Amino acid sequence: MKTVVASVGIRVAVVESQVLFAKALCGIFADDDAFVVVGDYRTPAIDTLGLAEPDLVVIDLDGQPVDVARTLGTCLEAAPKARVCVLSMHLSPEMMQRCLTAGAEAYIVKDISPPELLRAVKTVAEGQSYVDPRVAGGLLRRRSQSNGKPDIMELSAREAEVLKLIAEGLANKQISARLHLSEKTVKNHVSRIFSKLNISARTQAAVHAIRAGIV
Amino acid sequence: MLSTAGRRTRKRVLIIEPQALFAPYFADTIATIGFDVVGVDAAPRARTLQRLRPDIVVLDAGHLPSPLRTVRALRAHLPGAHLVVYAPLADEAWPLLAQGVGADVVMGPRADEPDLLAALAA
Repeated sequence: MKTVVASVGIRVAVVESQVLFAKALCGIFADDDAFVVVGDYRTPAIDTLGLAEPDLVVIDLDGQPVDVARTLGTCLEAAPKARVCVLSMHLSPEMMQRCLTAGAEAYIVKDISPPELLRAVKTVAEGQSYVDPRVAGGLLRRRSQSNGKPDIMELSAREAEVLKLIAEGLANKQISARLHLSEKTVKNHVSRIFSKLNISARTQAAVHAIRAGIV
Repeated sequence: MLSTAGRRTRKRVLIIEPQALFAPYFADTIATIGFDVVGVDAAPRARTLQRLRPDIVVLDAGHLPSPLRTVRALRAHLPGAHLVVYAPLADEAWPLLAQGVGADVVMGPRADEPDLLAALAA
């Protein structure tokens, strides 16, 4: 488990698509001595985010591309030592699940006050996870209803598309041609699908797709 | 602005911001540049509008279910108010549509503090 030691302040990078909201977020962290704001970005660009060497990346998903796994994957690729806290306006267990599956350590809904945000983010810096308690209940209910089985809803739209083509018997090269993606990108999607569905073979993926009714 | 009694009066601003996380920033910023923030609310409520009668309404329309309907309703409730709307809505026609139903200024995701000041003073 990654734990942030706040000897000279927790290094926070903010990713916020709207300039005024970015100023608000940076101000909230700058006003607390526990934090040092080391970056303020509109998108999670790999080169710049990595240079900032943040302990925490606080990203507002509203305004970012809809592919949550790709967006958070970019954050983690750019700053592999950082813990990622997601901000969102969606009180949605599905969205929270997607974020956690993609590697986020926190899912924070933006109808909370600045002091509540600071408490949540400090929890994450101490090595724990944080999820909005109103959403966590829904997630637990879903998990309970599915008896702990992996959920197809955890896949992004693109991953579901790739899964459908796997189930149709296409190889990675054919999928890449069909979706106009590089073969490497398709391989990454397939790896993430296997990880999310907790499977290790394409035939198992096909079974999941058929059961979920996407083919 | 001078009142009839000769005292300087400040324009009264109501902020409608569903994202409570950002509301204090807007309230502080707008107060710092010389406006009187008379209220901050998560949603436009007719009773609040009637009670406060703000000169200016600053509306974050980014998370409203029906942003254009909300702008139209605000204009109907406060025909004389200055209505500033900001939203990162993907539809490029949105600013024109919002102005068509009563917004005075529409700010996009790149708007910064000077833009906010200009919008309030416009």
